[in-house]
Amino acid sequence: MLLPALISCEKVLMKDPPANNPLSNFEEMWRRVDERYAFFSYKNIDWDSIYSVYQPKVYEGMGQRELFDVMADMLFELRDGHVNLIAPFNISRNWQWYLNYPENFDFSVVERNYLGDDHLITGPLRNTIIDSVGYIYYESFSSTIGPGHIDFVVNRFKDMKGVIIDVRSNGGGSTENVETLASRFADKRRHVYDMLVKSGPAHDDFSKPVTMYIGPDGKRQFTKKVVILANRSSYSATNLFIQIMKEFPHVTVIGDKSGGGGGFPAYSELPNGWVYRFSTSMTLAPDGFNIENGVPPDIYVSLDPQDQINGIDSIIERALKEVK
Amino acid sequence: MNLRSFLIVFIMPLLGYSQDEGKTRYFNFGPGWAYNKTVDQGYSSLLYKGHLIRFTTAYESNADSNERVSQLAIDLYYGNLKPKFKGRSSSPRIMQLRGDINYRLLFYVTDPKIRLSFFAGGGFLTNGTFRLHKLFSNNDVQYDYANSLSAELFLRYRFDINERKLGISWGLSQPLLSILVHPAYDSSLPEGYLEYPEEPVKAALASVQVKTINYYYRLISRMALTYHLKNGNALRLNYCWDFYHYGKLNKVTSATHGLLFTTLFRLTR
Repeated sequence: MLLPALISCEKVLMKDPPANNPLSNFEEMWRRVDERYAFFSYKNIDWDSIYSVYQPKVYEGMGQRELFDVMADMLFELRDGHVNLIAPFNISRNWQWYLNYPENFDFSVVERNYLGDDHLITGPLRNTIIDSVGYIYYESFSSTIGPGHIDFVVNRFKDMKGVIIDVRSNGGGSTENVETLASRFADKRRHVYDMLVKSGPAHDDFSKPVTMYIGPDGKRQFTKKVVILANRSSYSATNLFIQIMKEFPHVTVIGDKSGGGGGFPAYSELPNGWVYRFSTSMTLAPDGFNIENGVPPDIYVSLDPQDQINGIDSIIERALKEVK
Repeated sequence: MNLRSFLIVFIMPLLGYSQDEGKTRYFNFGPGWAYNKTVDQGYSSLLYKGHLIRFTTAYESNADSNERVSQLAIDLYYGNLKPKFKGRSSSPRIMQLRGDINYRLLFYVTDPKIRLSFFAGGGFLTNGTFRLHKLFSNNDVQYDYANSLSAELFLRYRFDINERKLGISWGLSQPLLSILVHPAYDSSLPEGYLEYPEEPVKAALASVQVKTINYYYRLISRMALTYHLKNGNALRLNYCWDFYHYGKLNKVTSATHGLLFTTLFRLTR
């Protein structure tokens, strides 16, 4: 009799999970985003109003594709590349942060006319020397930079006039790689950004700013002139990298404003098995600037279409001029 | 039905013990199985369920002469949980690793020489549970760690069948005061680390919360049947139900049913 009594207590104390029907899935996602999304106030989004627009579109018996479209359209209103609804048949997304702008990057031109046949591929770092200037192309912060990789490259460039780090169209990845790369170009330990994490369900419930520092690390640092190349597709961890590097006085950012993505996305899942993610923190520069919508460059340069046809990357050329 | 009948019929006491006078000590270990149900709002509102393998090792001492029973037990659990999706199966996606270290000290309330004995005392319980969600990132790691002072209740009933000595027992543990560490809301870091990211000692101290039963509620019920061998050792079958619930914003509720089959080796003086 004791065992059934304990199990009954357990049933009372462990509430039933939410039901798996269209309305329940919609409500669950709306509620969790309402309690944990970090940018309602910053982006001036009325999430209650958005509920009243989309909730009437949900009905019992609606198909999976139809439900997905309604929920995806609702998430699209957040204007956030870190917000996705992942179903077996589709992934929702908002890519306007780069689709609405010029690309300012042509890898074919870079590979043929700047990297060339004899560039080195050191882990994820493609690197070469152009007129006594070191050039690194890093495609994705999801690719691990080992200490050996970056130490080799920094050592290779130690006598160069400067280094160009090209992170255009780098969509982000691991912040560990951000720290590994940035620390090899740090002159001293500096306050590089603050992070605020959601601490409660109200839209403005945030932790105290968590102050983050980057300082020199690794066998060798390069602290002569450094130029970072950015475009609108430099997103998330790349956006963070650009912000960090801007805090060092010997670094200049050239190109276009980065795509943004200043929040760390957290994940959850719905009763129907779909997974979704959304930003639950925000990142501020030391002066309080919110990097969610991108980090502006020090020098705006666009890719000249005529130059591009002629195999010239006008952004790299401007960077070479800056270093020399 | 009177109280004695109720206790005999519905509470099956068992405790490894010796009929000899003086102190009896056992080293006890063995494998087992557990079934866990968890709701962790750091992940979602879904109920995650799964089977765990379990291993326990314990030291038990009881002395009729000084009217005291003590036990130190270490339990380890490992397994995978999956969410309950109505109408379709799902894949295991949360790896769970758990370790408990429990010390209980019990004193006889009734005469230990009678068949049905009643004990009461206190305990120091440690529970650490680590969860890793394989499909998530950033909030993939969730955990809870608690040290608790508990009130302990224990009943045991000794009997013979065909000259074989057996015992059945039931124990109840109720933590009253706990120190608790768990992630902050929407982060895998404890709260103190958000406040002192560069000072690990301060961060660790700031992450520890002192909580009473109304915040961190836990209840453990243990039932066991012991069969004594002629060589002084014993075999024991245990059933344990361990439930805990805590949290205000990110609530966590966990219920574990476990079966253990252990061997008690009697330690000679």
